Amino acid sequence: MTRVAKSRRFQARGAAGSESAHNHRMIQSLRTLRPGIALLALGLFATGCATTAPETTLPGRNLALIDVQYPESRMSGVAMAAGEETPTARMGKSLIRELGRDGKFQVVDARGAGVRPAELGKDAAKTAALVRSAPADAYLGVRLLDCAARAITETERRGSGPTAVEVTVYLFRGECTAEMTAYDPTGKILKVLQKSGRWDSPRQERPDSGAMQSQALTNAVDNTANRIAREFKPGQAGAPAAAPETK
Amino acid sequence: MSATLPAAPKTNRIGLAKADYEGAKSTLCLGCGHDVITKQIVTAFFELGIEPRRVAKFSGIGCSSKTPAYFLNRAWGVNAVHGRMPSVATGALLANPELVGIGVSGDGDTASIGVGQFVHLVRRNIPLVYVVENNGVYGLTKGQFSATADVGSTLKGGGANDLVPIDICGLAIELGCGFVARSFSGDMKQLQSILQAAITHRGTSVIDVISPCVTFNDHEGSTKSYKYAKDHEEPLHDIGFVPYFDDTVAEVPPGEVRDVPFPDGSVVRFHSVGRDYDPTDKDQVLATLHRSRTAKEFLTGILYLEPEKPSFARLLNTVEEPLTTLGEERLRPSREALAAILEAYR
Repeated sequence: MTRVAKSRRFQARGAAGSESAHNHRMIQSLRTLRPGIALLALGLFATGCATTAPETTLPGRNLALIDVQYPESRMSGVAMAAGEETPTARMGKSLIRELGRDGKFQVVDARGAGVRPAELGKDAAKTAALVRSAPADAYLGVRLLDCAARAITETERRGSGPTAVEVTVYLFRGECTAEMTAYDPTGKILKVLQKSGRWDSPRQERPDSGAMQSQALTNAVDNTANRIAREFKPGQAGAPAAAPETK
Repeated sequence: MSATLPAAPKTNRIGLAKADYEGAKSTLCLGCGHDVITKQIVTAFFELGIEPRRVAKFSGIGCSSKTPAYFLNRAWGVNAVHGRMPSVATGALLANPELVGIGVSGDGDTASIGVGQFVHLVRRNIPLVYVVENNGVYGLTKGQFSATADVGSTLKGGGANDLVPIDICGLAIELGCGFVARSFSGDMKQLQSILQAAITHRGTSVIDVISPCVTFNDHEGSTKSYKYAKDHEEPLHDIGFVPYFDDTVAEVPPGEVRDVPFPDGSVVRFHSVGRDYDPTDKDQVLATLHRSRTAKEFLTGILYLEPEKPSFARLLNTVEEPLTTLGEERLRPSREALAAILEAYR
């Protein structure tokens, strides 16, 4: 039976029949899309579904943040309101909070120990002092790669037909890319992870203040820290929990 | 009697050995320029310390398009339909912006059957390293001229090409590509710096590499042979690439070096070789390319560079996360959010 004949047969069935006929025509038209759908599925299967989530299990639950750096030459381009935290300070604070959320990790801030990641395991005295003051299963170093909040102007079309108007809107787009490296106490690299975060300020019909630009940057840094923290999970084994600081 | 232990393999900044970046054994002809490019790709990813599972490899059809099998066997990959690699790459890289994309194509796959796809990839600025392994002939079908063969170039069996070639680099620059380079598979040092810079660039990077076909286009009369390329190569500059994680500061003589920074802090360092050439000045770049075509010069180097050009994902303002990791609560807007969107279009 040809498609046309089949279709006519469906049409001859009254109200219910006409609905079936409509469905049938839909199915017929979708069939022509099948090769495209197959290609799309193949593409998605092969790459779109590819997960970049790395092996993110760290050896234990105890972490120590030893360094957050952002080359000074790049910092000069970062617009900040007076009294606002620098991206490095914000990243350190935010990362400690996010990694420790719900007790996932116990994170100590060991930046005061003055040990750079490159010195771990190489400078024996500094490393020993660090391990004594902040015993941890892994030591974390963070490098900010490109963190800034840029002013964006966009045109929005509002309404339709003859009453439609085009409006210029202003916003700040905060973007931050950071690379976190986890080291064991001998300086061996356990994991390198690079993540980007972003935050857009509300769209306004006039330019917002510098304070909002600062806020966009801060929120983008927070978003990046959150994305980094989400990738890691603690392993079973590990050193004893970091000793509380005693004075 | 003492046994000597083999030395531990050199590892990169993320603790992987070079072997972790290699692929299957090549089945191309012995001496093929494509194999040299493959080795340089392996080295570039190793030196930059990029995790293979963060990389997606794409190719179409042709000798060149077989090569992704020969590097980064732990990366993702799609061997697409002839000339259609840009579409697949576009979809994959928009779906997962955390992937580092590299596409390997040939002169036929790019400049003939795939030219319609290539131009849209470039104008959209999809973050993909697009390597054209350009040998001027269709090697898989026994050496007919491709669309990049120069006028006057001859076939192995005789017969000269009368058709004007497509200049892949000129085309890419006209379409607004932010990273365009030309190199030669015999110039490994230059190719290595170009590849590292291209991988770091956050948009489309087009690299046209003259890669001689030793079987069908390496004879007298060919303008894509090893001898011709070696005799005629004219580097526009010496290129150094300093990645963001390299903290060593090299002393450079003033006046002879020009640094172009990338957004992540990496730097491309151009050392002058006597030419007055500014790779960031588009007008000068295009004029130089036009002159070189007339004079039949084979200019190599980073021809054009615009590191801050926004990528397609940034223009579309898509999410930073891979789509597969987004939860349902973010993928499905609430009834109120949908109503607000619809209201905005009334």
